[in-house]
Amino acid sequence: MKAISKKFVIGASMLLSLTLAFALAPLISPYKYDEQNLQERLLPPDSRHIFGTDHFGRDVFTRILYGGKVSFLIASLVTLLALTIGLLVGVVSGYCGRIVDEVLMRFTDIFLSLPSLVVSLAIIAAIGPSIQNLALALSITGWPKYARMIRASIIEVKNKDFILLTSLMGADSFYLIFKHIVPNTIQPAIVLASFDFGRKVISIASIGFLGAGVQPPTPEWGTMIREGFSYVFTSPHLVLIPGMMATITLIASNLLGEGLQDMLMRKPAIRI
Amino acid sequence: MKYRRYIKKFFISLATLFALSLVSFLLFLIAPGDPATLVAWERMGGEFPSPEIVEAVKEELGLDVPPHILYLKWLWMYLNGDWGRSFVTGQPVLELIADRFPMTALLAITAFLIAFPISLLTGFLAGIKKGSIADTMILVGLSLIDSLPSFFLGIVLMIVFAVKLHILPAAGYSSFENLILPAITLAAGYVAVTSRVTRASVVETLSKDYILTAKSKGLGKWLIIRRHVLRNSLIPVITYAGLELAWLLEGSVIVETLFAWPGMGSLLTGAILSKDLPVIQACMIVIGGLFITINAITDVLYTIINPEVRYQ
Repeated sequence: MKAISKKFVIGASMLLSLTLAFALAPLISPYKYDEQNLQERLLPPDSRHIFGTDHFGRDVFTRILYGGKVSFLIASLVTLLALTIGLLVGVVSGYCGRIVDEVLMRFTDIFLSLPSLVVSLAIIAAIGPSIQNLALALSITGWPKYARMIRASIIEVKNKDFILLTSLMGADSFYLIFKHIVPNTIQPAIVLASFDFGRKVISIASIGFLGAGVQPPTPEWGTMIREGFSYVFTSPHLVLIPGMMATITLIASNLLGEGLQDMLMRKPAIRI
Repeated sequence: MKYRRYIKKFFISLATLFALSLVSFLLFLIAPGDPATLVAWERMGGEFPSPEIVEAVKEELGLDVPPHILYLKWLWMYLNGDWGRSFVTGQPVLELIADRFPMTALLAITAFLIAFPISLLTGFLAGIKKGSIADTMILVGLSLIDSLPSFFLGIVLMIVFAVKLHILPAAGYSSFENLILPAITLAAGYVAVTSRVTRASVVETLSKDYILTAKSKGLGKWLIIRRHVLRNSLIPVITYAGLELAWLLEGSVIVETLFAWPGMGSLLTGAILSKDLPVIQACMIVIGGLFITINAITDVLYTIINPEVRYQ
């Protein structure tokens, strides 16, 4: 491993401080996320409401914090699920080879060549918008990238001498896979996951913005933009602040991914 | 077996299209609530329909058969151009799509025409001047653009140009000016990816041995760039240009909704909110089908222009 990358430090500390702020929301903010105050509707940012208030007089700062918590939880869950499914498919495909590999990879390719946002939206439309269904839809469209990548690195590791030696020493497949092959292939997947986390936050916000994501009154950045969009001419802070938060998250996640890539990988250039 | 690769690609694309149709069809089956009840409910103006009426609607819509038969029936109808009627408006879906599709095509093509030249220009400039201040600035700019979600970029452009400066309209489709903001929003993500691919490709080409040979022959820098670098570095760029073109279709869902552009993207969003399954299906099939077709064409094009792949 090379020296700790600056990008990694910046990205990781941005994400950590955001997570901490979201987790400690009740301590940081004196308001509740659904506390309405119709006397104080659509206030611009000031000292009492640092991000202003929305059309129900709710404190935007508080809603940003709770919304971030929702987004981050769903995005982590989806990234973890996609990584796990991708790992399973990739390991089986790469290790078994032959017909199993052919069938699984064709299947993966089909998933990869479908437009993921549209498919996620359609799945949500069919099974109804809710947090669970959103996570399910994003995981279903999210795993193929991981499967492809893990399969590729498994095939690379599988033919290394030390694997041959270990199997000559009498190790069974299960031991080989989990003790030697997976640890050697997991690094690129972790890099991909760090890039992916930010992208998932954006997907959640995009779907929320389209109205098919997290449903009000639960705060979520995309849903907040959707609600604030009617007031874009008079109270632009309602859409700008959640949009800014999504952007900051994506930048942090990209920095984390690039930093990890510099630190962990010999080969550059993974793109998703 | 010169054509084996093309034939294989053709069948893979066909299989993918089949999978797409299956997924779209499954939407009907997994959706809670019986479509027939929903249709009957709509027709009766919100009154709860009696079981007889639901049965009648079921028969009328041909929904009273087992799923696999229903799928084949559905596929046959689709291939014959009968795409069903919207649950909400009762309009034939094919008509709706035919109405909206040109608007999406116009938006996507405009975005492409803005984005492609810019991507090539910035990518080449950055690649040729690798390590220079211009290169660094372009790279930083591109990662910034890449980090802007399209809904956010669109909103910022809307606030700046429509709300504050009043020089462009915020939404609608009545004039050419309406096209500008959505097209730029859609083009941004394209530029971010394609120009980085161009840069990487130029940098790689410049490191090849034949460039060294050309240099040692005493050819001038610009002659080398024109004769050797330009053509050779375009190969991966074209692949990406095609793949990203397919992504423009997907990006149009958000951009169209944001700018109230009456294309297929906003049709899909509206249909999702009203649970109008036939319309959702059709949008998914058209967007997905185009996506798959563009991918396949790109792949074939790549094989044609890149001899290394052709003779493998």
